Amino acid sequence: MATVTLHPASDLAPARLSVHGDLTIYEAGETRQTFLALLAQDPGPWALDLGGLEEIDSAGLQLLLSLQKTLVQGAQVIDLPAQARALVDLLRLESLYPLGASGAGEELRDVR
Amino acid sequence: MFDSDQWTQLLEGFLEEARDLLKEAEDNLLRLEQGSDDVEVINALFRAVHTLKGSAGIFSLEPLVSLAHQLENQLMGVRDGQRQLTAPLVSLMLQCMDELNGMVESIDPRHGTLAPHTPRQSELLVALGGGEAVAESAAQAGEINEWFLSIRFDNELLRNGFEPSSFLRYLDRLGRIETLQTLAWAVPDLHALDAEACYLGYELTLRSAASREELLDVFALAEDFCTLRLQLREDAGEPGPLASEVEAQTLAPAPQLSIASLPGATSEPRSGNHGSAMVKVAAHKLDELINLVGELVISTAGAHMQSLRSGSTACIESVQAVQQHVEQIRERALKLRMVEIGETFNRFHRVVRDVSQGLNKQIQLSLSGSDTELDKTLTDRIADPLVHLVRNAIDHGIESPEERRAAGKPEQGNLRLNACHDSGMIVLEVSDDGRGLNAERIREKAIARGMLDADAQISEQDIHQLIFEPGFSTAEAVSNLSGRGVGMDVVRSAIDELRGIIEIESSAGQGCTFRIRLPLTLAIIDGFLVSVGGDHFVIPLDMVTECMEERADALDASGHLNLRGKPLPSVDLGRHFGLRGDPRARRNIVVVSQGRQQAGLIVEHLLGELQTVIKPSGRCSSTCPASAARPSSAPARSR
Repeated sequence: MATVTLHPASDLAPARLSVHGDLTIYEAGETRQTFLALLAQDPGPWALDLGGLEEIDSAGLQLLLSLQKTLVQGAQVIDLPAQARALVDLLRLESLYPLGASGAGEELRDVR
Repeated sequence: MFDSDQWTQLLEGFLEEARDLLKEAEDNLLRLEQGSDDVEVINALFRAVHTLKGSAGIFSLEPLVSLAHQLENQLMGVRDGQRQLTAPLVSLMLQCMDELNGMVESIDPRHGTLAPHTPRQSELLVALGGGEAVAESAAQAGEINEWFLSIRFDNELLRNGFEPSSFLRYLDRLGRIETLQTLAWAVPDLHALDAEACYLGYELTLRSAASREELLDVFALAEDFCTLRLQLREDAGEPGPLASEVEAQTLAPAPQLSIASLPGATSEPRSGNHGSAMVKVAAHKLDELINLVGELVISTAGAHMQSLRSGSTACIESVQAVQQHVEQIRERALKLRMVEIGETFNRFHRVVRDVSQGLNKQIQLSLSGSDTELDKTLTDRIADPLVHLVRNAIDHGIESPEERRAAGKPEQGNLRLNACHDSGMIVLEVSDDGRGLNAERIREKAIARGMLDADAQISEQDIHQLIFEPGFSTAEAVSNLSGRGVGMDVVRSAIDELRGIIEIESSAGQGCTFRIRLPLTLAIIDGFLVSVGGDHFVIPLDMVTECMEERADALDASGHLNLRGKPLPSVDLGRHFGLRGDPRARRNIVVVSQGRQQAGLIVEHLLGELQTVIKPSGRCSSTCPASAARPSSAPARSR
């Protein structure tokens, strides 16, 4: 079960979307609906706080890629937990890395 | 995954790409055959075929993929020095490319399906085959090989409980994934997304000691839900050209989470951005634009007239400003249509190869001025006449090797295509170093056919022009290429239609040059407006050399003027068109030149420059024998 919250944009920062729990094929359909509802409130850009993610799979990643594509001016990932990062590394979707995560390459080698 | 419109659009993109790729492949193959030892040529050739195969794979065009695959195998053998690029192999490859072209043309973008192999294609497959067995026997030896895998997952993959990334993890255990690209361009936006469908694909190279079977086993359980291409890369040293790069470029941008917009963030642009400098536009859209610009030029001229009539300075000034901008728009718009002639020229490698092989002649084709730009419509319409001229030069111009040797010439004939700009015209030349035109024989033939009086005194130039008359052919043997008496007259009428002229320069035994002069563009010209009585005429400004006042009865009985001591053939426009001029008006001579010929036109008033839109005139003027000399423009008539 994924808990999704959109913290409204302020003058200083874009809206922040935090996702807690799992983002797998079991949650993907429902989460997509939630995203769509939130998009109606704020078309973007959003910052994606994925620090609370517990599990993610390819369906979850696809959903994030799709969200990014839909948002006006895209989205920046600001936090990505180890498990999600392992998957992102495996798929070499480097563009999904959170800001400043320059050590990602090293971690990739560790994982493998 | 896509609605049908999107699919059709993607497929149209692919078809266009495929045509370009095949053309590129053919050009490079011919270049190779001519002995180019540039590594880039074979690489480019290989890449083109590889990319074609990869892109066709996305659309599940299996027959195309398998033929391209065999072709690629052969090319790989040639590249790695295992196969000699012999003339029969080149011919086979060219046939294969023709077949691929045919397949591409047969695809209907609304459905995107391809019929299974025809017997002809199966033949080609067999002829091309054999390379694969050699390549893959190495894989059985248990040594480390580099494999190229291209994986496309079915929409239903996730719903059937498979996780795409698990295949990667498994492959990673069998060997080392050297390069990986996750193809995520197909992921749609949220509104169109089916969250449980799979939109991903991978392209990767894997270094592994595993056999083909072991690798295929990885996907065995999911074989109903993925399309897999597995290919042994022979030269493990060089990273393979990834079809995915091209996919990312041409089909859709890969979705990326952008991190460039925040300060301090850096983002490496991924592959596929360098294509953005070019925009492909449908030709008819450009035509519409040019048409409208033409209308704009006309209506601006009208507005200018009205403003002059109104006498309001402010009005005149603002109309003049508009006119300046319209002029700039006109220039820019016409430039949009300009393309380099090189693309048209390049296809002559193939023509020359086919024709000269058919006739057992050795011919070297050299091209120059390939970067000369001309109107797209012109390149399209001049291509066929050029092919005719080239065939004619090879068939009739250049002698057989024996004859050439007897004449003390190198056995290999030379054919040259050249393009350049010359005083507002495009000049295209087809020259050969063959036997040249036989003026005497042309004359005899023309007399025999009743085209010429037996005692007519005409210049050699004019005799040469006779070959453009309908039904004229001097070739003794009718070959399947030329010599049927059709062709040269078609060439001339095609060039006439383009308002061009064709000249022949021939010297017996030395060779012959056909020189075509064409106006730069067909639609709008800078004209020079003159009048006789109340009638206006426009002369293309580029043709006007000078103007002078006519002295009384300067025109002699044979229609010549004395221009600084030289006779200048001249025409009195008023008399020619049967117009009633103003007897009191002073008359002027406009000296016009085209190519190396000059002529004088006698008119009454010189009215100055005028932008002129050229449109086909109606049926009523088609009976006028001199209508070609009278490109009347709408603004000129409005006066």
